Amino acid sequence: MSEPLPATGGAITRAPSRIWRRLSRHQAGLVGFVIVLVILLASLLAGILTPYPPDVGDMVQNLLPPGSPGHLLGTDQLGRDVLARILYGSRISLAIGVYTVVVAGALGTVVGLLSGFWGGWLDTAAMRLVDVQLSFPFILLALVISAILGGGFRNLIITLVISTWVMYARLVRGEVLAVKEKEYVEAARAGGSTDWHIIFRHVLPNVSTPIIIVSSLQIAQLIVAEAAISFLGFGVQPPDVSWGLMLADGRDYMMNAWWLATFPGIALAIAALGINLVGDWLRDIWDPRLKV
Amino acid sequence: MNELIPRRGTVRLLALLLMAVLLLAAGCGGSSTSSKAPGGTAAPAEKPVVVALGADTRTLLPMKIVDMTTYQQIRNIYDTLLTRDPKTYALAPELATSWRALDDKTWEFKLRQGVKFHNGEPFTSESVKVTIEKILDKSWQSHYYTRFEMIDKIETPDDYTVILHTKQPSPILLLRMQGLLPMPPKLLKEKGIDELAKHPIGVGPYKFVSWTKDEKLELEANPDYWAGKPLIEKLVFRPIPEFSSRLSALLAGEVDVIQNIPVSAVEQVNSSGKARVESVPSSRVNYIALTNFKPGPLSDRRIRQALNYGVDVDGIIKYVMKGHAYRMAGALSNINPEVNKDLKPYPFDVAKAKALFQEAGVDPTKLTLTMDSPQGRYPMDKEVAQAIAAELKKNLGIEVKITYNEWGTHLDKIVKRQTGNMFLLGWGPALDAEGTIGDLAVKDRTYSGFAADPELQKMIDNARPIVDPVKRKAAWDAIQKKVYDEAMWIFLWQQEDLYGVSNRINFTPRADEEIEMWRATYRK
Repeated sequence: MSEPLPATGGAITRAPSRIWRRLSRHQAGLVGFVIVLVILLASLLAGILTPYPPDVGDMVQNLLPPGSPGHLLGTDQLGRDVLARILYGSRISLAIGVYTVVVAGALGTVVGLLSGFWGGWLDTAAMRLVDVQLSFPFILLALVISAILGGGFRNLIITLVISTWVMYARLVRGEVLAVKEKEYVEAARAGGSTDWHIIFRHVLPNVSTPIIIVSSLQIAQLIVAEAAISFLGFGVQPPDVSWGLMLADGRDYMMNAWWLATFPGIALAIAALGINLVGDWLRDIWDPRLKV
Repeated sequence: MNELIPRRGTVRLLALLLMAVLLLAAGCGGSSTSSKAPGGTAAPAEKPVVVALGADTRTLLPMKIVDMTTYQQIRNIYDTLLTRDPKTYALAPELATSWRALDDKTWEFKLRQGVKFHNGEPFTSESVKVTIEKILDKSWQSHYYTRFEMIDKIETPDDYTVILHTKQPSPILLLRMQGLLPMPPKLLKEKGIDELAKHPIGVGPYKFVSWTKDEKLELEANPDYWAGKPLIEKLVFRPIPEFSSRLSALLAGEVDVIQNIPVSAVEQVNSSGKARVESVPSSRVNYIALTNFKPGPLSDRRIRQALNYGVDVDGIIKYVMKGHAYRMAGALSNINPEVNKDLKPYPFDVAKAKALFQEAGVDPTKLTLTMDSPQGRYPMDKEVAQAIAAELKKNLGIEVKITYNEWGTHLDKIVKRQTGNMFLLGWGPALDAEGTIGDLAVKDRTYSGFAADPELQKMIDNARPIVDPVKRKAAWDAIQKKVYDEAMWIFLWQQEDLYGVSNRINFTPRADEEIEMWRATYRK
């Protein structure tokens, strides 16, 4: 992604019908799109799809196996419906993915834009910071930050934002370095436009494609990262529920109640797969170098 | 996350992951049946009996470091002055055959005669004197110092009589004699404490053979033990830090005794054919502290009582603990010899709880409480915290936010009074009233979660120095009643300790977590 993209500028304004035509020809993309759609609907409609609350169960009905009357995927050690927990859990898992990408993406993009466009000491300082941070393994960094901030939904997002914004900064800076030499930027400058105007009206639209592609793929990775952090005990705290938390809790019961960890694991794998397929498809239609 | 844009390989990887998850699930279904194979062949009786604990002994010296794992091991080499009866848990004779208070500050102990240390040295009153003096020698820096500092003077009128004078009336002195492991005075004088640290010499049922740090502690039966030679000839303690490794070692027949089997693994052990679960009502109690250090909803006694009425504790014991816990009414467990037997557990009564909330003028459905819990320290602690939160929400509409802490952090938060409104804690071995309520209901005590009101505080202060057993019991009974009415905790249960024991030996666990291997026998 270090090579410049052609300055088409029209990527985002394609007509929806054309996107749909391209999507229907791209079978993996279509599958991914359907998966994402189903997960979004499931999380939005959780309250309608299941009569059970995610955090309160009937203790008497604990550890019912999948297929028990009224509990399609069984119940957990406290009698809570596993399906209900997966449905409600998708809200937090998805919300963490989306919020983090939006905040980290915005932060990283702004830093990358300014750093790439203006260069100089700002660029040097920002990029050294990025280098330092990238030298830490992601999960280690996330764990250290979580340990300092503590668990919970908000802190988890802060942790993930701090851990991932540098990717956007570095990516955007690389793109900006190429774009800012283009003729239309020269022309705008000659026309008397201010730096801010050039950055946001001419440069940003032309570096937005890779940002969108990376973001879509990041969501999947963040959902997995949330699971990993919650699994290690630093993430979402009850009564909130996420897939990662379900995996962590279910681990203790692998021997006698396999469904507790298996179903959230499958949900996590399918969601990550679906989002990745969509991301791949976005790249395929927007990255001209991949066209034959 | 080292690649900015994952290639198609990622998709393939995820598909593989999905398959792996499914395979794992299938594999788990299968393993439970294969482990039900009929019992293995009995091991020959000469093979040493191995006890696997979570950690190694931290020292071979008695009376130096306060640590249950250390005590569990060296207790098999050294005998104690007093013990607790394995059935009633009342104080019982061991090296001291009788004891009495001469007055409020003077105690007399008669010692067992004809007992010898492993090196042939006779056990006399001198051994007790030298041992207590060693503990009180500040330069030795024994952890036990504060537990014995009430002792003012030690007299030894003859070889088998010890008279202890305390600085103030200290009925707790008797409890301290349970756990006093006398050392050999002649050896100490001639060769010094360092020799004893390398090669422990006690009067106990087992003699020291060898110790390889972090690997094993080997012992052999003492043929001259005063209570008769133990039936298990060779005894080994092995530290295995990871629980699942301990469990697999037990199921593989490599070790014979392990502690703290989780409720969820009981079935697996019992159906293994190699080992079984032996349980004992523990002297450790579990409770939800309702903190009242800061003004808030829990400062109101009626709300604390309502929380007790609003949680179906019996249901949690039955369905979450699978019956492996014993309900307690007040702050003391039922096996505690000082428990007030007149108290009955708060019944599960939602209407009563709601009425109390109304009386207090608080709407429970608008109330949010916070709770701190450890995870993995006590049986099912993680589940218990969530079950109680769910009960309060279901029955009263109270939203409870849980924070799970790493164990060290959890204790730290309790000590610094930084927990949420409630916290889950276990306390034990708790076999007396003062050591529980005197520590946990008083504002400035380390692990306290409750600040007693002036009346309760006065009752506790007055009860501490009472020596007369009858008056003492009456005073602490009244305190237990008061603590119960104050609802200082959501009173939960005493734990049941679950031990995994190999099928080649008989072993009876104790409520106070001591591991008395000299009482174990081979199974025929």
